[in-house]
Amino acid sequence: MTRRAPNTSFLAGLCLASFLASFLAWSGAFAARASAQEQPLVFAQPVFDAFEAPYFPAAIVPCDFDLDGNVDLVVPGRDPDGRLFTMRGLGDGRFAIAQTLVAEGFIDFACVADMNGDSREDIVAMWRGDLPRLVVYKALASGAFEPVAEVLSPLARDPQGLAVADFDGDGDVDIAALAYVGAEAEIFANDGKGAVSRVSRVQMGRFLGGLAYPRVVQAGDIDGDGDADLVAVEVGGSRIAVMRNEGGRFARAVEYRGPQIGNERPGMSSLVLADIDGDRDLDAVTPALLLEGAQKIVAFVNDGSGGFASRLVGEGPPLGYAFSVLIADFDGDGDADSAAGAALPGLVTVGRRTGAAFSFTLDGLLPFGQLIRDMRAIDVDGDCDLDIVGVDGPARAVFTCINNTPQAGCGGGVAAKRAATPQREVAAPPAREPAPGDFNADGVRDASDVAVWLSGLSRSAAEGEPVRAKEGRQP
Amino acid sequence: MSARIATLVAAAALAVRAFAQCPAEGDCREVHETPGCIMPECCALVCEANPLCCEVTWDLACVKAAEELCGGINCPAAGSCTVPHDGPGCEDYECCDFISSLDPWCEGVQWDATCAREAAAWCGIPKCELSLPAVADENEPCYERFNDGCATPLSIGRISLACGGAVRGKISDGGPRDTEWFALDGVTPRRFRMTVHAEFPAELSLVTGGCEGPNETRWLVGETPCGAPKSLVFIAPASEVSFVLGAGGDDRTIRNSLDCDEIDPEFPPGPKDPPPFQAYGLRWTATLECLALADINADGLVNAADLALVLGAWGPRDAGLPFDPRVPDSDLNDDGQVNAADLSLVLGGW
Repeated sequence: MTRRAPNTSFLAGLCLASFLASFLAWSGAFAARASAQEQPLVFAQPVFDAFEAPYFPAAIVPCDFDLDGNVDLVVPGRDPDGRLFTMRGLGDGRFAIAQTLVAEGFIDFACVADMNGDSREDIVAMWRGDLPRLVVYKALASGAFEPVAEVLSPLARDPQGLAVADFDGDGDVDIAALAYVGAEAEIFANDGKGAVSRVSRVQMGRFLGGLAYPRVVQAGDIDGDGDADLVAVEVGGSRIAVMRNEGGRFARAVEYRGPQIGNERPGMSSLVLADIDGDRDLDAVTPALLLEGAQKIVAFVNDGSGGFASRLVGEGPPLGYAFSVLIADFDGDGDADSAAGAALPGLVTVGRRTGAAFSFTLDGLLPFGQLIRDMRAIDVDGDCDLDIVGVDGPARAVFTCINNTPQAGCGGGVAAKRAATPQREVAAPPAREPAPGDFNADGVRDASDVAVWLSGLSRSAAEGEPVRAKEGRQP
Repeated sequence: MSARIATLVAAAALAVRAFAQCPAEGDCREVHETPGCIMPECCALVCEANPLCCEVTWDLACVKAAEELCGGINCPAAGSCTVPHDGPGCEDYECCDFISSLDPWCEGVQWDATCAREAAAWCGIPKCELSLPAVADENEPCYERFNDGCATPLSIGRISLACGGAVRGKISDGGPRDTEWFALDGVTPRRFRMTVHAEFPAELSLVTGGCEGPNETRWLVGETPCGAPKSLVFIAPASEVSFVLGAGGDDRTIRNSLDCDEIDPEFPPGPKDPPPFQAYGLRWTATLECLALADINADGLVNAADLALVLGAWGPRDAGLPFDPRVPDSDLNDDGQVNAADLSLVLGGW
């Protein structure tokens, strides 16, 4: 059995052309937009806390494990040396490695939750690789974690997205684990003592000609019935999958396709749930990776009952390929602003809500790195506004962009009430020898293929051909 | 897959030609005194490189050669084929090799629960050749994607069958895999019986909605290949509804081992390309029958038997369970519960 190496020349050409065209268009327009608005969003240039090679940070999980009032981080990643890092927040936007935990597989996502009812937040993670496992690193009274994880359950193929919530309403934290290659969500019920059992499997994208590759899942009450539902994004299928909670179980997914934007369907690699229209329900927002022109973000608008047929398109990064997204109120005016992370080049744009439906004025562009895989809106400096913390995987760094937007009672260096816990955000390979570049095996080379390629990127893009994390074989 | 087939063919040829010891006792990745080792393909590859491994003893040099040459070859290996276990491969070589040709994860990564279920469902079922009835053909070469639903515009990408109609065709996989979509749109709920006969493991599902969404897979079942035709009785809700036929099982879609056997004139095979590989035959037939909505047991009558099924299923259906088209569906109006409304529909259709 051999695998054909991904054809990166196709992607490299796209990258260069997109970069040049977008930069020329953006450089003039951005200055005009920024000067035309009052009270723009103001963010400081990013500061970095880097890891040594070969650690490839994949996501960040905010928490306060040492209970000092500063936001700390768990930084899941892809590491041939088998490590998982926690970082202690220093209170000024910087982080220092606090502990190195043992991981027997790459970890793309993790969550913190009190799994065993001891009032301490444990780390729930999923090991990818040849033996996919759901594991927990138990929190100790000292504020550290057990360095060696307890295995909770085997998992389906190539686990990536992870969400925790009390799905069955019994007062403890349950788990939803997403299998990227397996194209399913597995739901695990907690017995209250930290042991779990699988209660549901929900498959996604089985009707597609290509591969669905679900990557990110978020929990939230999307139909207003008081329990936690699930929404996942399918990178290969360019769809979101909505899974409603039916008494602690999930029977099936309802899938919605990303909208046509110009001449193409966007690649969608990430997802956040946020109320973007102020109607008190959770909408789903994804980055919209486009091969032509400026990048966008897409809102799947909740009709109040968990239906997402209506879709809106907002401004995204003018350069690169949109990969991650964040919705948060950065200026304290009560509406939802946006931030979008891009790849090739890695950059973050912040967009101020203009009042119109899902319309943003791009106030800032923070250029750095290669691939912004994950971002969170967190008050890391205790001045009560929301800063941006994220990871650039290939650059092997956690970054922080401090929010300096003037706003009443917050920001601008004004010390304010420090959040004891982080604020919640308002927010394989392809089939047998597909056509070069057709990573989701759907017969066409389009934005979703770039999204799949970026999702699997495990080292610096500048180092050459991408490798995929251990999934190695066909789905 | 082509590389895999080429490797298998080469290994088999080598084994027959020169190395009578392949396969033999002993783990290919462990030193043992006797020549040869248990994995036929690995044994042949190693002995081609170092004939002493098959003539004298399986020593450290043979083990090192195996580690170098036999990456991804793990059939047979320890562990029952029908029980998930850590590590790739399983102990029954025939089953291990066959399942791995359909699902390379099983030999290359781990013999997980999906592999075990596939082994239980598919190992030991011989390849068959159906005698197809003289019915209309789908008119889709297996290298084309004409009736693949959302892989083509849905308005033209589905097969329309009249009540009592039948059609036959071929399937293949690749990128994108071939799926056959049948249009069952209606303005009121309707009950159908779809009978499918296929030479391959069939993945049968009912999908509602257009391609923009919402798309809901109401149910999906995997049926074993060959044998008797498989009939599913189900209610298609009042909406845009598609019955979808593909290759796969309950757990996963087959994407690796059903090469199209027709020559695509735009991409003809090269002289060095291996012949197409098919773990199963590619052909299928489908027959659609339209039933009375209240004919729950699909016997052609609405009578006391259907009434009994309604009464037996009375109450809310368990929304946390997936639909199963193999279980009679008494929720005639698709409102999530079996109640007086369904009873009245049975009585009205008596």
